[in-house]
Amino acid sequence: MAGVRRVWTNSGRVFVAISSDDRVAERLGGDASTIAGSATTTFDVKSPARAASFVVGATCGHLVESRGGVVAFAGDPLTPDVCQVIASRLLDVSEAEDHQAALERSLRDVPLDVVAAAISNSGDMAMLASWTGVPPLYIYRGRGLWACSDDLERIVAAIEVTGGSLTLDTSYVARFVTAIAPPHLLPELEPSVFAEVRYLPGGHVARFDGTTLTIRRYWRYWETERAASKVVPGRVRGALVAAVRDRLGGATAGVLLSGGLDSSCVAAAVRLAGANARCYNNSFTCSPSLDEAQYVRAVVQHLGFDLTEIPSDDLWAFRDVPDQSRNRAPAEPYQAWFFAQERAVAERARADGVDVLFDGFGGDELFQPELHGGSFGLGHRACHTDRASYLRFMGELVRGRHESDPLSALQVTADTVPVFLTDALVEQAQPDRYLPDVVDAFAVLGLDAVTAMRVFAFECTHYSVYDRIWANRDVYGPDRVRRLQPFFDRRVVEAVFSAPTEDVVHGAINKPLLRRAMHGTLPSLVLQRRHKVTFEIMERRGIGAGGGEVARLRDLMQDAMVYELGLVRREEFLRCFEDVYVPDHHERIELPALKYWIWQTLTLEVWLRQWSTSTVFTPSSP
Amino acid sequence: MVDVDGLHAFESLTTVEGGSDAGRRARSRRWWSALRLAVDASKGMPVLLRRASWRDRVLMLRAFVVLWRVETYLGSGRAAVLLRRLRAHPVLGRRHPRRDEARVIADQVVWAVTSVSICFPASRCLATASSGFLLLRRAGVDVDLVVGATFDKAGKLASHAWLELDGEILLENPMKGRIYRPVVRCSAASPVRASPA
Repeated sequence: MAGVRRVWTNSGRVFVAISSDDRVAERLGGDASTIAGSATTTFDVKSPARAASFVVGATCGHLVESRGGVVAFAGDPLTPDVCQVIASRLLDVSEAEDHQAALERSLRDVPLDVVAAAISNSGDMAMLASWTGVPPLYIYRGRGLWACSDDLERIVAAIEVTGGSLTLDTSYVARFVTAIAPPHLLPELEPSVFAEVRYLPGGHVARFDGTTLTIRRYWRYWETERAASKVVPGRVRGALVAAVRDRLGGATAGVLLSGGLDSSCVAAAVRLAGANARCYNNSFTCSPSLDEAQYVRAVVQHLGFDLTEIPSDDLWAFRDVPDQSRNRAPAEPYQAWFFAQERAVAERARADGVDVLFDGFGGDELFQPELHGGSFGLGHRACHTDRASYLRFMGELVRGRHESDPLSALQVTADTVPVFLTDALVEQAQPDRYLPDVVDAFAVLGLDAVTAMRVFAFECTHYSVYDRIWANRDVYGPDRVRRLQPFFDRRVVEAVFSAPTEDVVHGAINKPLLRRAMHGTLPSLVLQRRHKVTFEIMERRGIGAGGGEVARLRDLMQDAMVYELGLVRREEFLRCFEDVYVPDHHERIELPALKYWIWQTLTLEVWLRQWSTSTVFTPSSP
Repeated sequence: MVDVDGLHAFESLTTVEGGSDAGRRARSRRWWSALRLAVDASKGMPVLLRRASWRDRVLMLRAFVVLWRVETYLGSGRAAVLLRRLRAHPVLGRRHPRRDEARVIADQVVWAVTSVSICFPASRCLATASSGFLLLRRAGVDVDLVVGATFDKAGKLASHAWLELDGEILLENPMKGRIYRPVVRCSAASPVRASPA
């Protein structure tokens, strides 16, 4: 492909672009600091096939030049040797099986979370997604420009500079509002909120030769060789400690400690890694049901860590959403429930000089394959089977027999679509296709029924990828605190998937493998704890009648963009809003998904309003 | 396996309803029905007990026995009798646990009852809440059993039963207390009595 090739990396970010249009290329070359930020340095890529080709990058240790081209890395820090090996594999354009195997082998030396983008001397672009999708890798395909970056805002900046445009992907919007998370399983690009931008899912590598994009999966964690039951707990513990240790690197560490099993295990792993940490806990006094102080204090006392309790009674749901302190719109509409609580932790951690903040995110996805008393959880959308079938199925699992197909027993509840979506958007969401599509994907991957169930729980039941991206980009990133999830480490995932299924599931005890793995490292009070705190009280304080945000949100949704764009029906939405968030009306507790659908719609509206002033974005109707 | 402690908890619940032939036949039917329920429900227990620690097994077995007895009351249409007996059940033990200790005990008891309830296909909130109530009272936790009611959007009467500790809804969505208006409350009615030797 002719034209300018550019590689930027600045403070750990990566940006790679190819352009076939001279005018686009010229604009790209002339505005490097706008796109890549300040402190960029130019590198040249020598190519006899190109009349003019150059690379701009920053000397942050993540840019590698080799004989085959240039590769930029972002994410966790790597040694130069490892960078060179991976760079040479990425720049090798061979599609031979042994080459792919060599790439996978070299990547196994990199258990950390890294993305890479490469331009070869022949003009091909190669892209490497991280193991589990964080840091993310976005790919833009526009007129005359191919761009790839781990930072969506850099892509938007490049589009602005080169005179391109972005439109709303309404099929993404449909699935976003209905909170259907894509499974990240098949080798295909996944949608983003922008129709022209795609996301390379974790565990995949992509190659673009100017006309054709090929994607391959390099990580098939479900094929990890099964180990004997007695060695698996030790293997899991060792992997978790290694995941923490390899990310500490002399940084000042913190732990987001809720008092629950997952975050407590991560705190224990930090101690086992030989490090000290300050623990942060959002504490509540407004309701005894939110009080986990005895568990938190038991953990810090046992591990010998310092504790910072952040009073959070006034940091209710939807507080400070949108974030008024930011002068630019968040890149994507996703928002977790309690932005204000997260910001309070980030600011406090920054003030304490914390560089990396560990949390227990991922424990549910990995250690708890969504089987609870007769219902298979589909995130917040429960799929029920009768108790007799459940017991029969569990009986087979715990005896190591896999005769039933758990996914075939799923009966997706009738109300899978919010009533306030327009018909056009419902047609695009296709919620009745979600489960069959997932099952088809499992068939393509050749998974047996029980392994498919475990993969389903890990990949398909939570918005974990978007949550992690959002936390680091929009919440902790502004304070330069990296929030890390050791449970998503490649070694931890493989250690768990090496366990026989009967070690991972139990008819009565959740996360039995994690409890066994961390036996002796935490007080029995915490390891035997069975119930988690739920945050309905904090939701109510924010978005219940008399709550801090309901008047503002009601005003926001009177004349909303989502109505104008034909995405949402106004009367139905306002009625649902009053039903769910105003307690004088009957709460639809039999349909818990409804509050998530409303939440997603609210965050989408907030995002649309902030982007409505952008010169490159045009919201469109379905 | 017979759980003596669990049966002790039900000493006061065993009644003799007169000596008539009809009464004896009714009692006989109830006991046969209870026995069938026990046999059917126990088939699911090996799944729950397998690979559990001994401590967890004991907890679940105790919960099973108590839940089974509660289900026999509810299955024979004697909910009102059950609630009278619950109201009369004292909080045992010379020393009441502190609030944080009580919450830890409640966490374990509610888990055990909820886990074994899967073995009883018809088990509902009143059965599990009643069973939790008895086991917690036995452990010295002064817990209340509350039954509430509301009308749903279609105008149908809906009810729910839950446990409260010092006015706090235990281990459930706290919003339930706002949705369902309490109509029955079993609070501590008897003086504290020491555990049997």
